[in-house]
Amino acid sequence: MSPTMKAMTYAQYGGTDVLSSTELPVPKVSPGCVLVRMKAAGVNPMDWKIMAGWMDDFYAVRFPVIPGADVAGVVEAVGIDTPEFSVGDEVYSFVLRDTFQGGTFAELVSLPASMVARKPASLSWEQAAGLPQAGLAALRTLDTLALNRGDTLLIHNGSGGVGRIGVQLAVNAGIRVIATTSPENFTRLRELGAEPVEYGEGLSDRVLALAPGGVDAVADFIGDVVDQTMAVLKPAGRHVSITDGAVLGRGGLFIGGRADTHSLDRLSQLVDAGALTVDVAATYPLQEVAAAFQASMSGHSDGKIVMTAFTI
Amino acid sequence: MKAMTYPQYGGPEVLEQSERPDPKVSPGSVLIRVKAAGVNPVDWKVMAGYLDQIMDVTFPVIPGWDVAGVVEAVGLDTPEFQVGDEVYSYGRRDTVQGGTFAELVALPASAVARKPQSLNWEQAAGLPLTGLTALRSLDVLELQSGETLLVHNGAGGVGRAAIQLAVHSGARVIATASAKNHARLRELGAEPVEYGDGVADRVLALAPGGVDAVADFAGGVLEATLAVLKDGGRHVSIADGSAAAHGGRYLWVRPDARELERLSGMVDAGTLTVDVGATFPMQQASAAFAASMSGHGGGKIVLTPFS
Repeated sequence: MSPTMKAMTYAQYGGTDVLSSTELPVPKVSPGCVLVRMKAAGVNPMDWKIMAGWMDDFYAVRFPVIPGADVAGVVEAVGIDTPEFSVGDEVYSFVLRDTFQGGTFAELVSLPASMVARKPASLSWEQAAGLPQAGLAALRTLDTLALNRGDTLLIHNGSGGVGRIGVQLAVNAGIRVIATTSPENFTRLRELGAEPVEYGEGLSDRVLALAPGGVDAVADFIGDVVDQTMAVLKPAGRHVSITDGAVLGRGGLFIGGRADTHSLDRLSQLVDAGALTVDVAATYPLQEVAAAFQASMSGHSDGKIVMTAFTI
Repeated sequence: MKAMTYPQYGGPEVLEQSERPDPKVSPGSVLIRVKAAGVNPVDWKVMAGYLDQIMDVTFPVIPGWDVAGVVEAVGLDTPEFQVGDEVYSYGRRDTVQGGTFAELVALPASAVARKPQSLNWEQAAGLPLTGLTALRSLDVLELQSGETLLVHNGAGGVGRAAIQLAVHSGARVIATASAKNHARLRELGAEPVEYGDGVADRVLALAPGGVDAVADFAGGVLEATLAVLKDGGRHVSIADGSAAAHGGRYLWVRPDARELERLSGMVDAGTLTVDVGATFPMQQASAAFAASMSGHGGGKIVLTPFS
């Protein structure tokens, strides 16, 4: 008998009712991979969008699926020829495969070393687990926009997971950031260095009131805002979206997820230099993924939702 | 699409031709129309279940990790490639399932590189796994100009690539092979010796003080390696886990677009070429596996599209 572990899984597409706790074989550790004992695993909207079947055109899934893509934990075993890591190393990762099956909402997860990095020393497990996917998306967004110090950037949904990281990265790079959010998050976004504006009707006017000539770039971390984007963007401005393919038809670029050690190390350095932190809004033990997904679906973004280890 | 698949572990008899759904193309991936797919011994070792301890497998499996072909579609955020690009890849994933012995394969852009222009499709498909393995071996050995390297199994796919790379870096290369491959190995710049009983003596006859480094691309030769290695010498093996317990390193190649680009540069600079031993149309993958299992080392075995 191969050893087993507890994992949250779903055996078909659906809402949170399809989730259950399951015993599964411990993942095998391929050459170049590490087996990580999960200490915390961040929730991202993509997790429940995949579960709902909304990404079925783009990603293969193999049921039963263990959801989850972000993880922070301890290396439990290393594969053949994996000199980067040793048993006991504290690491974090965003795991992105082209087939979704073996995710991070489990006691153990096997990950290619090329997607794993050392956990930032100054973050708790929960904070570290909330950083990878959001941080990498924000980093790729800003790398793609290639802004200069003094440029003005509008971030749609500045208080979501990606938004909070994007605000900090941009501010740290000397960029002026205007960020949409709801009023209860204004204070925190100001602390992070952004100028908050309320989203919804009249948004373009509010942005143009702050930046009368328009903004140099727009990062959409929410979707369905391309008309507002075009209304505030300077003529030669650049715009991207992490969620709305429609930007491709309007002169923008789509930002997909990429997972790599080097980019995670860049995030770790910014964190440990004090330029970047992670706000954790709520934690749930792994067996309560359904409740965590519901909280994520409600879209009240006062920080990351993070899973911790099973308590039963 | 058409693909070769196997529904369970076994020998060449478990391979069958199937209709499978076209692979999905995730945002950072490319869909490649397969022009040629290289056969590597690991393909039939995985199929036989020999690697079950270290690899999760989801049946039915499309075997094959090497490919050369044309980009048919790109994901939503794949600025590296465009439709029509000629590419090649070593596409191992950590779960074995969607391989290259098919009409189409989807692979992450991080594992795909532009095909060397000076190779034909079959040669290009024979390079990724072997070339990347040879490159990783020589990088780990930190071979210096003027040093002597022993290559076990110089006539295999990895061996031929490693000889060329090592000779180019100014090393002296002694390589084991059967007699019928000696002429080709000499052309590649190596000094061939017959493998098997007495190999250590034959190597020491050529390098009386021993060799600086050993690359084992055969397995089961650790005793010979240790017998010819100088004190402080370095050794690696891609086939023998016990190397690590004797001061060596057990190597396993990884997918890596940047390393593939390095190989392409070396090929197009004339440093490296690929010997193709035989080609088979895709539907004859079991015959290709049988030829690979025979271990004659007469060059790469490569699959071409279904005919």
